[in-house]
Amino acid sequence: MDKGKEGKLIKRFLVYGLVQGVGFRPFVHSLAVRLGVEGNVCNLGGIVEIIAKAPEEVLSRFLLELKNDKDKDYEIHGVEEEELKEEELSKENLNEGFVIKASASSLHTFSLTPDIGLCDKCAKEVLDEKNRRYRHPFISCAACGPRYTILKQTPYDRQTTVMQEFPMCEECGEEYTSPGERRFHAETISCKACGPQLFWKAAKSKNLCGSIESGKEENAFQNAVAVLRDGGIVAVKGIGGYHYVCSPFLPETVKRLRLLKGREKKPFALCFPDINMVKEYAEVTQEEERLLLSKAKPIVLLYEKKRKIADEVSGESIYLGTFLPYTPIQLLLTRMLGPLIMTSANDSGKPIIKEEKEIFEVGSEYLDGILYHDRKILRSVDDSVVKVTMGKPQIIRRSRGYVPFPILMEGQGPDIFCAGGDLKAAFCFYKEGRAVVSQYFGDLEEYDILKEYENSFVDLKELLGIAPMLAVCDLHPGYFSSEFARRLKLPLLQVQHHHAHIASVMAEHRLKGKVLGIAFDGTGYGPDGNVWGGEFLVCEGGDFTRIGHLRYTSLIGGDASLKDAKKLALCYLLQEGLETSLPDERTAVIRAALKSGTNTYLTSSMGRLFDGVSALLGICKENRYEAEAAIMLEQEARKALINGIEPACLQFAVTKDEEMYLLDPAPVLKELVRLKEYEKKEALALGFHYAVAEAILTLCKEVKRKENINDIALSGGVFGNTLLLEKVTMLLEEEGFSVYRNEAVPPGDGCISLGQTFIGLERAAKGQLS
Amino acid sequence: MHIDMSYGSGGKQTTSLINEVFVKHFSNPTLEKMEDSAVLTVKEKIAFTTDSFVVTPMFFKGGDIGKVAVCGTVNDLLMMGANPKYLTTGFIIEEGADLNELERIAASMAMTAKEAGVQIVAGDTKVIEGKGGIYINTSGIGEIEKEGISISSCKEGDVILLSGNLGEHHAAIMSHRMEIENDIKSDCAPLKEIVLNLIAAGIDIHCMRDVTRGGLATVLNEVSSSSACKVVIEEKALPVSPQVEGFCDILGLDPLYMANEGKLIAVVPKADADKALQVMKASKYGENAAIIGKIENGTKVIMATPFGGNRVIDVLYGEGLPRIC
Ligand SMILES: [Fe+3]
Ligand SMILES: [Mg+2]
Ligand SMILES: [Zn+2]
Ligand SMILES: [Zn+2]
Repeated sequence: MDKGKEGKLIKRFLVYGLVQGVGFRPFVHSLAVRLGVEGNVCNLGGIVEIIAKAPEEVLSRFLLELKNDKDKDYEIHGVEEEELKEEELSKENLNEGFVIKASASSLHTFSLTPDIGLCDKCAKEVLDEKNRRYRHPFISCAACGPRYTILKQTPYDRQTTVMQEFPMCEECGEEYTSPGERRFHAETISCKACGPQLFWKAAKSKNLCGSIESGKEENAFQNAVAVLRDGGIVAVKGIGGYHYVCSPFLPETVKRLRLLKGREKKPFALCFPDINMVKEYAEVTQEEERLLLSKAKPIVLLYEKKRKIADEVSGESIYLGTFLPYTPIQLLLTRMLGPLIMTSANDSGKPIIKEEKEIFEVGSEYLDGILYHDRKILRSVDDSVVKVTMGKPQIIRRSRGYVPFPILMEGQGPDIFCAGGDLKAAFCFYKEGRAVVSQYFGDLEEYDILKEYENSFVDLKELLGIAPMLAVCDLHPGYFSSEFARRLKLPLLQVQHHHAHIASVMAEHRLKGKVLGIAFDGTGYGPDGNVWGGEFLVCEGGDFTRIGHLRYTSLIGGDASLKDAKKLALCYLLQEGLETSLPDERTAVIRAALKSGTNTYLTSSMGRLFDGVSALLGICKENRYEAEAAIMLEQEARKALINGIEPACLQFAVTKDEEMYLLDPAPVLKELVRLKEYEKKEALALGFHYAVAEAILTLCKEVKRKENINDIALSGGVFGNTLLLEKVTMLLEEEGFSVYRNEAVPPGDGCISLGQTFIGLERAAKGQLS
Repeated sequence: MHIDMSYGSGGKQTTSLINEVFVKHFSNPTLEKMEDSAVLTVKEKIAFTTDSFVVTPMFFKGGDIGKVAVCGTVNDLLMMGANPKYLTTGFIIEEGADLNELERIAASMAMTAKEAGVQIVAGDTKVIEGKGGIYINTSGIGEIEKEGISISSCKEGDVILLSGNLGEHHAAIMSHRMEIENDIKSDCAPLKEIVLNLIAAGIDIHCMRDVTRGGLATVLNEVSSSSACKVVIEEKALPVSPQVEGFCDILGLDPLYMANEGKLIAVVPKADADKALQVMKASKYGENAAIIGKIENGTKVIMATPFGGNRVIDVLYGEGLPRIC
């Protein structure tokens, strides 16, 4: 440690999170001055750099106060610190006292802020009868309100957002220009007099509440409340698009909502008026509470307490998707009506609706009215979904509130575009050490979603001022994202899907040297022409070697077959000659198809094995929504844990064929077939999870012995399984491994574009681009 | 009896093979002259095409390689608005091929040619070493009845008709290969009646294509790229027989990508669409015809699904390969 002449340390802090446009740097400045810290603070494009010079204890106090300020408007997601020597400081970093440095102009344009949920102060004002913004549906301040979804171009300013259409009244103008006011330079400032207006449109077919065609503000609001009270469904304009809103207590209403949205079976999320009410419906840990209250206001998946809502909302799921109001309208509605279902307004296979002309065209008999306003939404951005695993957040869908936070990358490279994958598609732009992963789009096979993806490419490219010199895409020959990347006519790098999964973890945790990556998911194209999905990859820099995988099994092809978990189970069983244990009239045809290789493919997919086991145990025979069979299998296993049921003893065979380790599921399947006659399925489900975890451990120990690799990276949708992730992590950590997983991006395919960015940068740095 | 290399020597065995099998079945005045080439009289503008046929199995429910060999070329001529008149055929026979099977194939070709109103006016046979396989080439000439039919002539607003159920040939062949019993028959058929009736009815056909290898998805993608347009089809409008649908469900097959040997699409102006549908339905092999979609400005092939989605229909990139993760 170099304490310098005066016993002072110099540290560089890189602060991530919501630290821009929320008064963070002035706060840092005043704190530094108060504590007598010398140095400076500078915005580096969504990430704030602080150079701080002070005695060690002062620096720790500085950091502590920075992180713990209760009344803050900013939100720190992470701080990296590094000690510097005096000589490492450049001239401009060597000033007396503490200054706020101007940010580099190129990074300025790159620094965009996500949409910020309604803050506590605004929430208080909007409910305060004496406040002049009492019940103003568009209340916001310098620390909250829409950002990304209303921004036309950088820099962020009233004139560059859709708020430009609403000239400030005198009073608002006063607040806007008064330093020290909560709304000093709050670009979204407005009041009832000058802000956007709320409107109501009753569905033509309905006569609920006296067929008021439209009305302003309170009228509009009261109409919506009346319809919702009557058990109706209302489309409500939000931040990244419209929600369909209705009561979660009325089974018939929820059934109508399912008809309105298409034949969806997925659980719906609920918006609660406050955290205390959430706790009446679900278990909430400290970390979950923090997430619910965080500025992003994501949907947090919680364990439901004794059910109070209609079964139609979330079916057999033990999770309840919950969130707190992030718009004033949501707050006002839930305050009056209690928890409400709020689910994105769109047909399956379409992006979330953001424009009036689209929502007016819905014309479904199940939609009773529309609560809309005249503030435009420029980008469709879905709600984000998060859950907590082992005390840390795990992002399931990264969108509103997180996008476009940059992820800091090590090393420098040219501007890069990474196309991501085709399902849960999200692309990524890289520039000057920052990776900006786009909002979630969905399945690119859907034309409207592909269009949205293509348009957003242009939109974000311009907004961020990026001129990509390199495109990176998946290796899959049929991906629409890859086809899009090819059309850009840039040098193109194709990256294997599971390599990208692992690289995303390496990017997040800055992993160096050899990493053993375990990528378990549903499907990814392998360079051997088979479908990978249960992979052990040794990764280093931008390269990988496949050293092991789940043994190949032949499955029946076609995307539709993947929904049919029972068919998948039959394929696994036929392979082992165990098919009689699962009677099905299709067995003969499936046997013939597998034997003759008719429309079949070889796969090492772990996700498919979970589906198959779920169906084999009679837990779930059909995926009515993505990964339903696997989720139900996990739930069954969790029941065993809760009820103290011993797991069945199951074991994969781990063999080595030439240089490749193989996890053979045959012994597991045989035991499951034998035991399912008399063992509880909870015990079998738990035993299966443990067998997968043990197999991972066995293989990791083997690789450690041979190659001395201690860093393990876990990625892929299968690790969205909390029970498995916890067990694997525990086993590995007990053996002294360092275990890393996705935290800033989802473990599912939402991480692919970040992994592609990492590999693109590594390859570019080594001049390995073909 | 099996064919051995001596049948290809050019000697007595060859002559008897030609006479006993081919001339016997294909008999017509031009062929019987046994000249070095056929001398034909045709109208001014002709269509001329060739295709080779390699089908395993050679016999299947609803047809055989001989029937496919005639229908394939006849239908290709028809798709250009030509009335098929003459075919030539070449056989490459591997030694070990069964003579009776060869004769069954020839008889089937003759019968199909008769139905399609074409004469087989020249032929050739070679015998090679191998495992008893039979490969057939046919070339054909047709007289143009309607000009200007082209894959690149589709216009915005045009309507797309499909002449019948999808996937039957493919499903029949697969059933055979998998050795499973079912009622699925190949749709292999000459489409002469449908096409000539459409032309006779004065339908302004912009484009026609037979839906063969790669299935409807492939044909529609060809339309989209050649005519620089967007093709929009309705999933629920696609005719598929219940048997084929059940078969596809189990095997994870998509009828959109399955081969047919007796189906066509016709792209016609909107004003002619209903009439064209009536004509198709009244024609042999067109009973299940349907209007399946339309041409719009733009790119890509899009299928509207019953639940409000719009799937992008790409060309096939690999059998069975899933995208879903
Ligand atoms: Fe994946
Ligand atoms: Mg052909
Ligand atoms: Zn606020
Ligand atoms: Zn105002």
